[in-house]
Amino acid sequence: MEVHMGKRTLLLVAMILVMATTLVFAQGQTDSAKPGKFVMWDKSEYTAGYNDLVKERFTAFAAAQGIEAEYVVVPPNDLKSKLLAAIEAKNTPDLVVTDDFLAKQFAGMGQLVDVGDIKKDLPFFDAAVNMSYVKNGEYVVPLAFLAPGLYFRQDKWDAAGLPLPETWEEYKQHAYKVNDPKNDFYALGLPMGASGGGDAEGMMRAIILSYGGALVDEDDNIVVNSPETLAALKFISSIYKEGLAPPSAITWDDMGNNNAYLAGTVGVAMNSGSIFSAMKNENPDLLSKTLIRPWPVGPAGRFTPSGGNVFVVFKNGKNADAAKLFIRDYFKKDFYENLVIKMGGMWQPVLEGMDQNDFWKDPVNAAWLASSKSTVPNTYPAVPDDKSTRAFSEQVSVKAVQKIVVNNMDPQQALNELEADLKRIYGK
Amino acid sequence: MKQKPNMLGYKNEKTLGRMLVLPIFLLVFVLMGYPFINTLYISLTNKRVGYEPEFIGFKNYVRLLADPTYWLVLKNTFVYMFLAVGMKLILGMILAITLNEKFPGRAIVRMLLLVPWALPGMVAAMTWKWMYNDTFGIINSLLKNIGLIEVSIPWLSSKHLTLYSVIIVNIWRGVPFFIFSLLGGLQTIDGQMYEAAKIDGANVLRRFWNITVPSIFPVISITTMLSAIWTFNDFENIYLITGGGPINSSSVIATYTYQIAFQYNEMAQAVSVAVSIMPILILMILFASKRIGKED
Amino acid sequence: MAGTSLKRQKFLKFFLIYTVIAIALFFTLFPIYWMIKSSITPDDIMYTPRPSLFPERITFAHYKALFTETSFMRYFFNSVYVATITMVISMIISILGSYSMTRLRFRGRVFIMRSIILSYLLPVAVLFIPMYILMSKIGLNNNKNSLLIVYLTFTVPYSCYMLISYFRAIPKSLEEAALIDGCTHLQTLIRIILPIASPGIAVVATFAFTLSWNEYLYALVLTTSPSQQTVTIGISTFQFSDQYIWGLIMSSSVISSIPAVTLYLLAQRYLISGLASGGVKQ
Repeated sequence: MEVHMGKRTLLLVAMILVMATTLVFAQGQTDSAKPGKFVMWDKSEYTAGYNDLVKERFTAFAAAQGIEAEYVVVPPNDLKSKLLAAIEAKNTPDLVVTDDFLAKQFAGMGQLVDVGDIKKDLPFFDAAVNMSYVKNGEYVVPLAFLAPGLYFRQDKWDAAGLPLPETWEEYKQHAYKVNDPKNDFYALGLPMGASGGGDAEGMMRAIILSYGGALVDEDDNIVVNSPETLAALKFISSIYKEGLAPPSAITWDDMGNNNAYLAGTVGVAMNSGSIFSAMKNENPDLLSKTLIRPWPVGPAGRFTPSGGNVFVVFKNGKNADAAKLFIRDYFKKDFYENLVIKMGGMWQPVLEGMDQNDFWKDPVNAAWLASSKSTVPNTYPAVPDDKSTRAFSEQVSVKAVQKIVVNNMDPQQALNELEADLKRIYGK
Repeated sequence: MKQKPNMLGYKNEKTLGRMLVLPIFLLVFVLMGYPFINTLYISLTNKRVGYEPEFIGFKNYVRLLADPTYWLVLKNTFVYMFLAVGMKLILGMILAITLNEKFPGRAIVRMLLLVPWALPGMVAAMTWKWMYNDTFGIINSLLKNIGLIEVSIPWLSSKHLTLYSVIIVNIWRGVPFFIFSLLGGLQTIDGQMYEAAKIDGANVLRRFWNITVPSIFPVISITTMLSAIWTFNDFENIYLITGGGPINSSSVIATYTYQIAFQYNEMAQAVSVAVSIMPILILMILFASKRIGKED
Repeated sequence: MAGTSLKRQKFLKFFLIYTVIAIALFFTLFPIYWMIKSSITPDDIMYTPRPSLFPERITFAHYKALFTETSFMRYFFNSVYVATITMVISMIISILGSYSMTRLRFRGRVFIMRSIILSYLLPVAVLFIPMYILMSKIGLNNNKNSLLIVYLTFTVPYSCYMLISYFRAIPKSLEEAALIDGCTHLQTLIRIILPIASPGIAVVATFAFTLSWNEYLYALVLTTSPSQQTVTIGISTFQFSDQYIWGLIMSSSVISSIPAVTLYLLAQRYLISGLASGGVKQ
């Protein structure tokens, strides 16, 4: 009798397991037969009204096309994990707005739809075409530049009786005089944290480039281990070691330098227009003391690695065609021109003819615009492909500097390890 | 569940017993089963998100054992667990004993002391991150105002301090769990035992060791083991405050796994890190379940 | 002589108690005070190297923005839904299961009791992708109901552990008498064990609610639209890559803390009264 009972329970459990498994796989079949819902993931922006404006346009577009659609706002810090999970589950959105270096990593995975037709038809600036270039093919559409400037506390330099510095070395020399840690003021607000947006990595590459060094060249040769790069690494680490930057800069995420500058605790910050719009809204007094300048020059010249926002279209979404149509709609003058202006200097246009408005005649805005036209891709001089963008994403330069500053490693050894890191990424 | 009245037969008890634990069985072995098997398999491949996996055997594990960062992270995790759980136990015990005494305002104090546990981990992490900030955090500001320090302490940027800074936050959040659990245990102790001991001349410390601790030893063990397992796997706390940096000085297994999976997009390697510590967790779990499995 | 020494002992005892309490309260409550104070600090004095300890000026602008300009309240109600239902389901599963494991005899009892905790073997950081794939396959993609299932994987094991030890502490004599009188097992569970163990159950239920309410990683991946997302995701929407809007972060943190803390207060009273009315004495 006991055995009889035991068998029954076992049978019951087995039945449940079979049902569950069938359910799991059966549902999977019905899903793929659903009609194409157009899903867009947009970057969430602090600028008031940005997401509302885009959502309005999106909804109007969907209505005109007669399709079901959903507009989702994703905080940038969360985007990568969500997107990777979606890719694994073969359940991606159709259209995604994100940073260029993040988007490019997906090109190598074969996840993206070819957008060559859009890039041919629309008159993008050369710099924009470069910004969105990926070796694997035409997969990325530029959306806007996020060119960085250098925020400069003119009042502090005036008080110390110093002229405007031009070179990296001059900035450092002046920093000794302007630095005032006892009063919570550090001259140079240069970040060193391995952060999501890549503030620190971009800045360090700018310095390396302007000293004549480079990480990887156009032919994928790892050329980082050179005397020029070594000089650059020594220069960068000396700024932190000699206390010219706040100690917390070591773990700053992307908001670290923003907040430090807004709090009035650093004299220099290198950032996109987000600090600018924050000052306009929250601290006009600080704005009046601020000068916006181009990035410093090094022995080999001035380099401003920068990126921007881009569109990518995913293959595994349900309605890639709608996505491509919407991109064209987005760039129509009546919408795009005003959207960029609405971003108040944080964005610069990528399309010819969208920079003629009086807004850009204002000297500050003109400075941002000029900056956008002279930037180089983040991975320069290497070609932007999945390997170089991965190297950027892994923040290899930041790691090297961290080792020198935090671990007191010998700079040449840190440089050797940086070379090893790059070799690993490039599979050499 | 049909039961005939007056049927205390062994058979019915067995069926009922099995039915009642069926949901739990499904939860642990079926729902968790798929991810578990999947994870074990992935650790033997070179899977990256967006690419198809290829079987490579134990290469991931070999690479792991030779990686100094792995050992550093493992060490950090143990330090984190031992220090945090140790302090939580001590502080929790002190406060539980204190709260077991009757005094005016006890109800309100009990309420207030339990609040950190009720906060979302994210809220706690953000608040402490804000307080630790060396440019405009209140902690450094207070210390400077008192005159204890001149230059801000880099709570989150010094590789020597950063692990301890996040341990403090874990302790702050976790002490209420110990207080609550231990207090529940203390309140089941018969007060007469203390009276008898007092009459016999035992002092406070002896009463504690010989009566209190043995009586609530089961509660102490379970609470400590659970907390140890949770603390060992802690992710949010560290990820949100320091991200594991600088240079992995505050990185623990959970954040390291996440970093490899999503920053480097090496899912298989990340998974192998997680699997590699399973033996440790299993040992801890076995230890915990021996306490549970004991018949009273 | 004995009288004064006793009084002095009592005084010392209270002094010790209040000192410990004072220190504990300070360290416990200061961060919370700071969070609340920051949530009512105007933006222009929020960022400063020497923040003042006491509020100089207060503003409710952050709260106003939270309610009127963001979808935060929808996140809040989603969290209430998910946490409450998860709590109820985990309580039912755990109570029935724990009763079975402590009171009934069947083969596999010790096995299941020991294997529950296997749920904690893998960190969420690794689990969430396979879980996401699983939930997508059963059609629960971007649906807060997927959280109801997934959250059980960490609320149930904990609840069972605590309930098993609470149930064990209750002597079987009462139930045995009832069973002889003709009650079924389940009736003894409902009529005898539950009332006695209710303080413990209240505690465990509160913790189950709190664990669900506070969860971040699963919610992040398993839900995408604001109509499905929970309060922890809501707080993270105020962090942009460059700027953290501390005013909104702090105010949303305060609001997010209210339900769990309130539940706590209720469980607290229950705990005290339940145990005061006499636990179980041999």
